[in-house]
Amino acid sequence: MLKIKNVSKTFNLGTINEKKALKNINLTLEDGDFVTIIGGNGAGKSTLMNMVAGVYPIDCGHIYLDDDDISLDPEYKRASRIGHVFQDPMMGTAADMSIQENLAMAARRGQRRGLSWGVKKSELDDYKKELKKLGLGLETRMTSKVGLLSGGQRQAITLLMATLTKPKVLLLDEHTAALDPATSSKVLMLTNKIVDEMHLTTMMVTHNMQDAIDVGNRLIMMYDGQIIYDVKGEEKKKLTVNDLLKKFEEASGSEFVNDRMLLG
Amino acid sequence: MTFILALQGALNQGVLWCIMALGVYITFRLLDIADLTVDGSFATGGAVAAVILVHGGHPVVAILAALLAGCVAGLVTGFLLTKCHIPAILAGILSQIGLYSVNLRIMGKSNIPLLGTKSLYDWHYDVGISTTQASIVVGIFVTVLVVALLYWFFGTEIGNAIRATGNNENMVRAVGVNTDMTKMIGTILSNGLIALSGGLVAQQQGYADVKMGIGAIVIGLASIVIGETIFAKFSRNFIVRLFSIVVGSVIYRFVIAIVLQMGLSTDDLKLLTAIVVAIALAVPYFLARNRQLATYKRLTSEVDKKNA
Repeated sequence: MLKIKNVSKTFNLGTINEKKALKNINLTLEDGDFVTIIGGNGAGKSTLMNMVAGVYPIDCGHIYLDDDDISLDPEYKRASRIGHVFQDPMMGTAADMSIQENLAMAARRGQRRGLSWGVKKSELDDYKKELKKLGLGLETRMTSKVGLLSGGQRQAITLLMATLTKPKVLLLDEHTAALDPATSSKVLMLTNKIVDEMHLTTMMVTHNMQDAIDVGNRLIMMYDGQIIYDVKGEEKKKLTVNDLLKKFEEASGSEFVNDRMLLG
Repeated sequence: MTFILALQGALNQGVLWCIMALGVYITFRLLDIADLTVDGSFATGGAVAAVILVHGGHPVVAILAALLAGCVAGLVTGFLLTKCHIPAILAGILSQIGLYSVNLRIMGKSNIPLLGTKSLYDWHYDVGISTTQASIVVGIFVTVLVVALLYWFFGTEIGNAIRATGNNENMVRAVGVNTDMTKMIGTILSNGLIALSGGLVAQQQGYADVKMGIGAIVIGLASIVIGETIFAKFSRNFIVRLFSIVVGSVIYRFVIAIVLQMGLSTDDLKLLTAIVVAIALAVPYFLARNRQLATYKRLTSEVDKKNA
């Protein structure tokens, strides 16, 4: 269970560029919740993800993971229980290292690293099996450098790395946004499959409203650092893109809708 | 009395070495590059000035030649940095190491004493003040001149382009400025000033030595950091920043003079300097982290109380 309580975040506090990115956020995710998060640029979606991951410190409030207060833990410590996939496919993998070396790094998430071999022979079969599930033919290229792969392939590997050891929470920050439409839907399908099979608690930021409606069991809309809409279950299944646009207009009090959201 | 003399000596060194620190400031703060050429180009300045003086050259010619030699050293570093795409730190180290041999070639030996040669401070016999006092006057004169020139130059179109390069290279290229050119001008100007300082210091101490530049970069950084720490609260005006470096350089020398008077061995000076600079550079980070934690605790206890 992930519980966010009274969390606020202000960037550039006390300067002319002061920006309240999050305003007293309260949110509880039950185990197995798959939440999609939408909202315009600067609404606080990515900031919320980064706060949970510990990328930067929060101003105030608490973040609980299974009742442990992790609010002050550094990013690397939280990462033993949190998987994080970024928008940029280049960020999740080490380009000069092979696929199996990357996977072996991820397989040791949360464990003490010592002087035994970085990749053991006994692990390779597991990796091969996992790579096969991706359906991208990568299981035959395990010693290839990740830098030789396409963005979509790298993002698929990043996703696999984030879930190789089962995380308590999986954070997906627009992880399909930088991919072409075909690859994007393929990676989204993989995401759905992995989350479903492993029964993962997941937060996914997306700009694609149809995706936000189609996947997950819960949907959150953010505006101006606050959660303005939160639906789940049957009610969410009945949503349409038009409903979301209307909601967004109500909240922002104008006809203006972010063009990236309209594209969804 | 010895203490007064020691402080006078410290002021003298402060105003001569601050020109070197101003040079370091151009690359370190304005261009946001750590240029390690300094240790070599400082000695180059001393070497060139000494050679000209022992051949009977005029002291003004000597320091101008030193300045020019430093500019050439800066040109080499700038070339390695921009045209060969060698990372800044490596480009500086390469120049610095190469300059060691060049300086030995210039001097022909590792140390040139300046006994009986003309110097910039000779006029003190006519006025009736000590060499140190004359040297202080010359140092202040050159420093004011350099600060004024830098203030003017970095307000010009080229100067603005150089300062912007340190902020945002992409922006500078987007408005149609060649950033290779701005960086090159920066390293040339920087090392020119550093060598000028070396030429003045050689005359003041009465010799040039191939090792006289060792640790110069750290002394430059110390001057910059001390000056910034003291003046940060008052003003961020550019002229104030330049003068803060001068003051930082003098304070650094005062501190050194005082700890030497208190019995510290000169052997330990470089270690002391390194520790001072390390602390000065680390303190802002630790302060920010502590402030963040304190704010977190205060705000969190407030929201906790409200929701209890």
